[in-house]
Amino acid sequence: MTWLAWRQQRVSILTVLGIIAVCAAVTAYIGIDLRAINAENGGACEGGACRPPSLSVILANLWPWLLLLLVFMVGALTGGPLFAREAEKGTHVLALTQSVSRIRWWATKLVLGLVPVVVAMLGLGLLNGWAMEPTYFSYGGPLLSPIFQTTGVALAAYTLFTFVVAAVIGSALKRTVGTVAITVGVFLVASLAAVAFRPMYAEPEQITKPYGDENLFIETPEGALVIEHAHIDANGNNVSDEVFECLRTGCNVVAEYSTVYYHPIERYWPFQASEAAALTVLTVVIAAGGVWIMRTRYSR
Amino acid sequence: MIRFRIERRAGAPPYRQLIQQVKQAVRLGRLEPGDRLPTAREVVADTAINPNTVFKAYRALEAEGLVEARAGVGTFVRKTLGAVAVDTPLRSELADWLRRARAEGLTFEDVEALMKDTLDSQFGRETDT
Amino acid sequence: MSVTTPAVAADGLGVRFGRTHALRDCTFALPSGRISALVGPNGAGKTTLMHVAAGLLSPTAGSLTVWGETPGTYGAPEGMAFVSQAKPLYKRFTVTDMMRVGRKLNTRWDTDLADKLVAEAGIDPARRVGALSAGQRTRVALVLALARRPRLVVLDEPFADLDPLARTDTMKVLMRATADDGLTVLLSSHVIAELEDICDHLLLTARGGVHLDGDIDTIVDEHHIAVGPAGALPFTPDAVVEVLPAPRQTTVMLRGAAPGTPGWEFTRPRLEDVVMAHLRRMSTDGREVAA
Repeated sequence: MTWLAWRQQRVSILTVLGIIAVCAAVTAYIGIDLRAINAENGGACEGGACRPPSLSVILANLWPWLLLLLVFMVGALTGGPLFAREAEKGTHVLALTQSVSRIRWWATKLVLGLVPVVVAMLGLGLLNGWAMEPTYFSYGGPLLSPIFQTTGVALAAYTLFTFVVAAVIGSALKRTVGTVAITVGVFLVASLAAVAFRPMYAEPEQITKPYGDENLFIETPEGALVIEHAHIDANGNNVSDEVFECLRTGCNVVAEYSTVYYHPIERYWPFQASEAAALTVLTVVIAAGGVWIMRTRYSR
Repeated sequence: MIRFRIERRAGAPPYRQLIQQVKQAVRLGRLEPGDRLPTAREVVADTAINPNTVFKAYRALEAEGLVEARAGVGTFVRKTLGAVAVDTPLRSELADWLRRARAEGLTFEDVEALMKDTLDSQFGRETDT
Repeated sequence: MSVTTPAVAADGLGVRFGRTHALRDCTFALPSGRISALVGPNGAGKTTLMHVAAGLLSPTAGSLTVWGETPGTYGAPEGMAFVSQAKPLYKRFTVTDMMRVGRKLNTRWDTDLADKLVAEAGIDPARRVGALSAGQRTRVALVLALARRPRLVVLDEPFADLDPLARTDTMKVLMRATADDGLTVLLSSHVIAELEDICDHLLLTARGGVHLDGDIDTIVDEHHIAVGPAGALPFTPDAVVEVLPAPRQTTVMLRGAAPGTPGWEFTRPRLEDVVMAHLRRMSTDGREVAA
């Protein structure tokens, strides 16, 4: 069974691994070049004069978005046709009428398809985390999207999730085009949901200072994920809206103190673990759904 | 060894055609007692018909005592049938008659119809087409 | 498993897709060692029936067993092989690869037989399946089935895309396996004429139900075509399957009536005639002629 799964998928797996390898090379280039620039003169801008951005800097801006696209393509375009294409061509009838159990056939194809790819994405994610470090000073930090999703273990976790979602939808729908379309939707929803929920992975830290002009935007440690700047008046009400309104119109607001809620950069790895764990749990649930579909509904 | 020819569009079912052809061959001396009939496999290789048909025909012939099946060896002709030698005088008389019929302008179908009708009235049985 | 266990037996078998009944209340038993023809118009449920037997579909009512066992989700039941209508093969694989698929996916696999059958078909094992003709692909699909050494082979419209030569060659391979190993065969076709010579058991389905189930010679022996004068019929209505009136004579398909009515000429019908008469009868009034 393993032989068959490999023989059927070897071209697509090797192609994807090749693409990931190319991306790894680009990532390495970005990391090396950014560090070289920093080493030369301490940063892109110094003493008010900014050097024109080099290729690696331009790329570094785009790169997380391109990697996000890569996650989607790898997941949806290899996972989607896995079962849908077989159903379209009718060859699943051949596989299901030998002496292999349906579940074993389905699971072997699924696991063999995703393991090499997810492992490669794990490597790429870790490499990208290293490569992007020089940008944290200017662009905010690794807790921000889309850097967070495309570094560390999250890149692999999103790939795993998308692949399995696409494969299971393909098993149910049995049409490649529709499967990819639905997977787009699921991927977007999951990504947006993760961005919305990420600040809640832990209780945010706070810095509180007395209200004043210099504390309108309290400074946070380098690389932190800022959640909210709040200004509270004597009665405990949040008057942030009035404060910012008056900044424009020039009125006067009296507040007691200002607070900034944030997650420090040290929370990167714990948050990576949380997000990866959540995605993995979701993936397992969806895979169980796939098994149920194979048992009861995948036929004809 | 006899080779069977199955007429697919004829009214007689294949197994009856096989029986007829065996009997005919025995009558005409083309099959003699001790000759082996083709195995189901050999018939299938020739005609692509259902081997059960062959078994059925051979069993019917065996029930009539014309052949006997020897396990593991084959099915063999047991006895002769009737007394029609290949070169009987009746045959040359028939050939003469047919030559005259043709000279008179009768077609194959005319002769066939005439023969059938005469056969029926002489041997008296239902049409079997 | 005794010799008398039917190859395929169904009891009140029903399969429903949403609101449509592909099969409804089917009861039949196909004898072992025979070649059974599954016949009926398109949409009669033939493919559905075969898919239930192969373990691809579960019945929504009743039951179906193959050699006494109910098919499950563990592949086709042991002792049975299925060739679906599309004769699915992996187009980019070579014939050798396909044989390897058979060996890897099956617990019982006769490699020597597989190689022998491929060589007999004159197919170069190194060729890709996609480059083979329709007839050759059917032969390969058949090899995959026969190398499982099944006791029953189920084929859905096996001769559909084949030229006459390929058809005869395929039939010979099947018939030889029947002669050698006592293989039971169930094959479907919506062209009845070609089945008459190779099948000895008939299962006639129409609109999801079973209308005829029996030995072909017995069924045909029961029927007669009678031609006689126009006018009132001297036969019991139950025995009349179909009436074809004409200005000067009437042709009737009878079931169960003995020949010999004076003034009427009785002939033995072909299987095709019997089946067509029943099918036309079904489509007009939906009732079955009582046995």
